[in-house]
Amino acid sequence: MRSSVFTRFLRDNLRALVGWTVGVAAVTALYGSFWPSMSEAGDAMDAYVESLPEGFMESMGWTSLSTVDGYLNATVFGLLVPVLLVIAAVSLGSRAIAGDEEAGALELLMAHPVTRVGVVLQRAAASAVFLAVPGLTVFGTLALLGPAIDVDIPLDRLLAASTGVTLIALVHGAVALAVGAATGRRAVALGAAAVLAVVGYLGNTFARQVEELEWLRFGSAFHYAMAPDPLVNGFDAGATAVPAAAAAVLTAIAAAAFDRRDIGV
Amino acid sequence: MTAAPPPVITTRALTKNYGRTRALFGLDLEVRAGEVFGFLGPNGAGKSTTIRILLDLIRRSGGEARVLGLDPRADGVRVRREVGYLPGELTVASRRPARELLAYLGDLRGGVSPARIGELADRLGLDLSRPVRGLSKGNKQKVGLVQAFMHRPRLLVLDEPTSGLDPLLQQEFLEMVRETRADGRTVFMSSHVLGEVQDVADRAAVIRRGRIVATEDMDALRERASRQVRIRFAAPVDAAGFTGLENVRDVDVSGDTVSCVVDGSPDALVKRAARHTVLEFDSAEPDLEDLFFTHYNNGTDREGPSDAE
Repeated sequence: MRSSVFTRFLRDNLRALVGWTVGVAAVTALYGSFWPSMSEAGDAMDAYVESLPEGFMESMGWTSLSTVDGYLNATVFGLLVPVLLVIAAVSLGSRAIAGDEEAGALELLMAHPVTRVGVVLQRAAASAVFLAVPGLTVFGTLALLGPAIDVDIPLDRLLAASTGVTLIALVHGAVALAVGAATGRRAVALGAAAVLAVVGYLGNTFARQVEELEWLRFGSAFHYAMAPDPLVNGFDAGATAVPAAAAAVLTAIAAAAFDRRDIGV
Repeated sequence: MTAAPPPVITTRALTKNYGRTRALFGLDLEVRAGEVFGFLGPNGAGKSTTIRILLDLIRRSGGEARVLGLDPRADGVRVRREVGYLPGELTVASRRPARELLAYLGDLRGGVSPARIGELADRLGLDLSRPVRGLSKGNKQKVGLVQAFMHRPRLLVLDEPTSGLDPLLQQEFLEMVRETRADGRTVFMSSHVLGEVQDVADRAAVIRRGRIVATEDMDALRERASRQVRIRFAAPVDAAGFTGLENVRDVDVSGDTVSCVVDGSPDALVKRAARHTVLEFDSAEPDLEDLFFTHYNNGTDREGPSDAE
């Protein structure tokens, strides 16, 4: 079957890809372009932050709103882009097998000389490429606009942060893929991945404040993208490898589960 | 030429359970190379379940299955490479034109020439430039037929192939089936209506509630078919004139209308009716549920096999 399934899946989702990419670029550009005025209002901002309840900053994952990395972490990388990318990834991952199957469209494909494992792997690879496009768009947008909006973060750090948020999405997409491949139910796949994303996000933020919940962070994909603070420290091998490996393992589980069951019943 | 070629499809004691519900109860089937085989049964009898097992879309719970000498469970890809399949319910939702979908499906099989796709589309009157999503049921069925036939498979497995096709296209389709047979290839087609396969099939099996209740030559099957016939005459007729005719039973005469059941040829009934002026002659499609109960049953198993046994 070569790469037909891969190519076709990307093409079938081209509209969605364009939509998410434009959305991510717009959000990144919009919030990025607020930075110059935010930095001018630095003192006022710090005073405002002082007035917030204790722990609020930490729970939101904000370190500072008066530095460019702190500001971008609080807006683009810490909340908006991960949310958008996770939604895109979960929607795609749940559609890749379960959604297609529930629509009745998978039967025709699977009646061709393709293997179950091959279809899952090709669609998973296509989903990864799909997510990489808006992920790189975040990097590209900030890299291009940087000089104009006083964002003077080195490119490798921007790339590290963009990779981090893309990996968050990849992990949740892989969860949706695996649950969908195992159950054949799109709603179950969507639900499982959405719950995990919310728990992971809250777990990561609450864990910053409650010592007893510290362990929760290690189960959260958000932790690996944010804790190393890539805008300040650049790439972190461990924090990149863990979510990438998790996505790979989930994809393998998806393939194995799909290979074992009846299709379309 | 010595021994007969090996059968193209065989199943032995094939069973399938969906959870605690059993859909197939030990199915034995044999389809010979080069024949057109009708797989008949009412909706829900297990036709699609059987077909999906043959393609390894679903897995059997017990028994054996062989397609082109291979176990679909172990050699699914090799089986599917040689098979053209038309699903019972074809869902295609792409916004892209039919031509592109068919090219993609051809690619999955190592490529099918656009000329071949165009030729089949022309025969069936399918417009390849229209998006598949907006196609009518009949046109979607044409897309399904083109993809099933286009790579000239050794075995065609067609689940309810004529549904949605108008009578003219049904004829064209039957012609394609005959050509496939003339080519030495095999066609396995299911239907819930005897009429759809009787003109083209060499043999047929009837499945009912997950069991094969008969496998035989199409001619013999047609002989067995019972149909409800109703004739209306210009004037009231005498009941006595219609009793005791060959192949005719359950005669009911009320005024100018005669209702009866005909087993096999209606010759005697037609000749007798011709003595009067006939205004209407209705003959219902034989009911597959009934097909085997008039002849095979000795009155012991009128309700058919019980699912609890």
